[in-house]
Amino acid sequence: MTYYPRNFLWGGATAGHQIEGNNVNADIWLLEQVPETRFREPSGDACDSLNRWREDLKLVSRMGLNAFRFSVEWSRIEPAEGQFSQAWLDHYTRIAAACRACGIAPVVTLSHFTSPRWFAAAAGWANPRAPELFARFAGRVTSALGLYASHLVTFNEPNLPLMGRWIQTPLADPVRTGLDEMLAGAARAVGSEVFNVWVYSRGEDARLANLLEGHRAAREAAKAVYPGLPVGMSLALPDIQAVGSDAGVAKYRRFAEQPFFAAAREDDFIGVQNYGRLRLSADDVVPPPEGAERTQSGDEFYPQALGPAVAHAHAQTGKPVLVTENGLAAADDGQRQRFIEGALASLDEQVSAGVPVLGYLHWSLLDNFEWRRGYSQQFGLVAVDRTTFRRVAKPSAKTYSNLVEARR
Amino acid sequence: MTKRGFPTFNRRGFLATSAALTAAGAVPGHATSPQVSQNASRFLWGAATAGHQIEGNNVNADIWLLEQVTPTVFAEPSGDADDSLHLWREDVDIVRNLGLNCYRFSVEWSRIEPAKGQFSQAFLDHYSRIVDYCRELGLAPIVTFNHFTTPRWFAASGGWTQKDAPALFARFAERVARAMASGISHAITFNEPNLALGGIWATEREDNSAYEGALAAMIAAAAKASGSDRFDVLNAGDPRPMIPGLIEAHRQARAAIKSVRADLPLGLSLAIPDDVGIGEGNALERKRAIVYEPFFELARDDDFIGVQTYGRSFVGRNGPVDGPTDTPRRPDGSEWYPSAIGNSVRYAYQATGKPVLVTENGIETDDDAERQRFILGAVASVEEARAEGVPVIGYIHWSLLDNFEWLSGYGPKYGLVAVDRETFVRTPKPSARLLGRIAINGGVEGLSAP
Repeated sequence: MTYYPRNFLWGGATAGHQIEGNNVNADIWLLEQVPETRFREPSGDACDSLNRWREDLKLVSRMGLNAFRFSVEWSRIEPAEGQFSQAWLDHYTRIAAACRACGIAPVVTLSHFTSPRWFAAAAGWANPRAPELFARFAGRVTSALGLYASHLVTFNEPNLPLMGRWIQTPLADPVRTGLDEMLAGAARAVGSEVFNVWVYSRGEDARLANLLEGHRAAREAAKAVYPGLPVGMSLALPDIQAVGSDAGVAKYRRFAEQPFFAAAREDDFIGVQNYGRLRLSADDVVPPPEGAERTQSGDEFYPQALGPAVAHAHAQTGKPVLVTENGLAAADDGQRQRFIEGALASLDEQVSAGVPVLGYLHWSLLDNFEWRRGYSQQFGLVAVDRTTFRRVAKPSAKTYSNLVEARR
Repeated sequence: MTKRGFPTFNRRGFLATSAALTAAGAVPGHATSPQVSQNASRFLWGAATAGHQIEGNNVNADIWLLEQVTPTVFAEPSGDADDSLHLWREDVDIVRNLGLNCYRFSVEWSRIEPAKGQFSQAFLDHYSRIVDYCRELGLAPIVTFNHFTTPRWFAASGGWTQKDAPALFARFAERVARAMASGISHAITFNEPNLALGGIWATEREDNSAYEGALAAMIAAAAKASGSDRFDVLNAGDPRPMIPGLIEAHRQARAAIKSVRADLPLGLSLAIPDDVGIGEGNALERKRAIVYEPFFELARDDDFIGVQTYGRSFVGRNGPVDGPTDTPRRPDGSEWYPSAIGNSVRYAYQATGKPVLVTENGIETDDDAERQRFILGAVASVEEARAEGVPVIGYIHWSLLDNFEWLSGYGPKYGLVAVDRETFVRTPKPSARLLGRIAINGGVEGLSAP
């Protein structure tokens, strides 16, 4: 059995908008509501973790885990530009402190896709002031809860919009269908010229530069408060595999990885989020092999991607790796159990080989609001009743718990 | 005070109760009423709050947006208010520990129905927990279904002027009733729906065009920020086009709530200053016909009438006039007249024949000793009315907490309890203990103030 250090973080991951519910002042809440929406359904009450976060912590605790990843919602903490809410800072501080009180390390994400409506209406990451606005927010959050936080993640998967940029023939991109119309609808709904939401953007160069500056500025703002608090960002890192020519892989990495790895070299750790592999030819994405097992989302079932993604991130940055997400959409919980076994086995190899890994946080603790896919897909170790919000741990929670126990 | 709210701006023309509310006459040595009701134990003694004024971050409400747009007539935004969204258990604990037996609070429509037709079970659960906690502590929960605020989407689609406004409000009310009616003690549909009419009756009014222009600009900015060409808010414009929809909304909501729980006592709360006609041919009856009668007509089919009074109002021939100058004064020169509530209670009962619940009564002051004297005088005046045979269900003081007083922000202090604006720590004032003692004694007899 692979040796994992005693303070290795074993945890479950969540994100504010996906579990809290009624995040009405967030840009994405509005995108769910406009007539031009591309969301399957609105987020509504989500898991009501706004009120039930103590139950979530209890679940983490009962599973024998020692880490919990959650995000703070910028639109709650700064509901209008420059107007900070001590009440919501207190709320998130209570969560972080409660984690510590039961021996759980809080991994805190500052921006998990959502921004305040006012930020989107002020051009989002196309706004030259965006870095300083984000850094000011980061400083406030760190002042409030930094003493309790284990790790601070500035951005969740900021490289996501870049993952299609490398493809030469621009995008008969079904993923982008209707997104611009949806954003235009949101702009109309707030009487604005623009409504820029990074994760639904094309990752334009100027915005990317701004966002990376925002990352740097937020890190500095956090460090100014607590210099010892580890800060990093989390990247979407499929295990990239070349099919035939590796020219596609090179192009992909230039767009979707390199700018972020460069930024991460100044950080304390690199957050890795992996859901499988991505096979690329010279100029396109190659579908999974014939007959490959699929997940609920139609993606290839490929848990062994985690190890190589971790190794790659470390090799590119020289930084210790924190697996901030890894999981799958599965209606069949048995498939999730096999996934966790496979993923941890691939992680074992890297840890044995000496790659510095700080922790593994499974996505997700709860079945939740999966953005445009709404509530149609289950990533959770725990099921949540959509009306009573009752949480019921699935067999995979037990499996995970046992696999963790065996590695302690 | 609600008045507190908009009206404290002291702009007679608009939310005109302000004019009505500024007055006072001393309590002729508030020798207390010897009369204490036989069933004093069942008399409701409580403190009142309202969601937007204490919860904080009510970001999806129409008035939150009005606070934020440029230009705005609000002195400051509501921000975190008292953070009662998180700290409501402390509020309920305080009410119980003081010795009071009821707590009035409101549910926020914009939280319960954040988008049209999309109801939040999470927030219904939230408010149900407050009702349940009151019951657990032996307090009667008195729930206001609408305390001035409506959802942004409602305002942006025409507010109370839109055709289906009554049905929309009734649907919301029914959802609330289904969630918590079994635990509620008294239901109040609307808080001071007549407030904005307070300035309409006068035939000669002060020139408020500058203020009205500022209001219109604020509303236009809110409409633009909502991607709409309108933003209709009852207390920020001409109320007359909205009143018919609001009256029908009360009827439909009453039916909806009663369909869930027929025996739940229900009413609405009116802003009723102690109106005093001045001089021959004064407009007292005209004012009453315009400002109260449409709602009294509704109340005659209700179970009780809620009365909210903050002082006297003097009615001349063509509009509000200054009152007598020889009455006792407060330090700021306004009239000292805590017994106004007794007169309003009598009037509301005479007009409707319904039992009266004092749902608000209070005083804006930084001097808590003055508040204590006010409470003794006010309660004594209510006791006198009761002694005369007026059925009064209870006395609920405004306000439990220092809070967000609408246009005036956090300046005015109406609270029995002070709230630190940074830490949200609550500190009961001596007036809180006095009201609790009154509740335990069943009256003011034997009690005194500094």
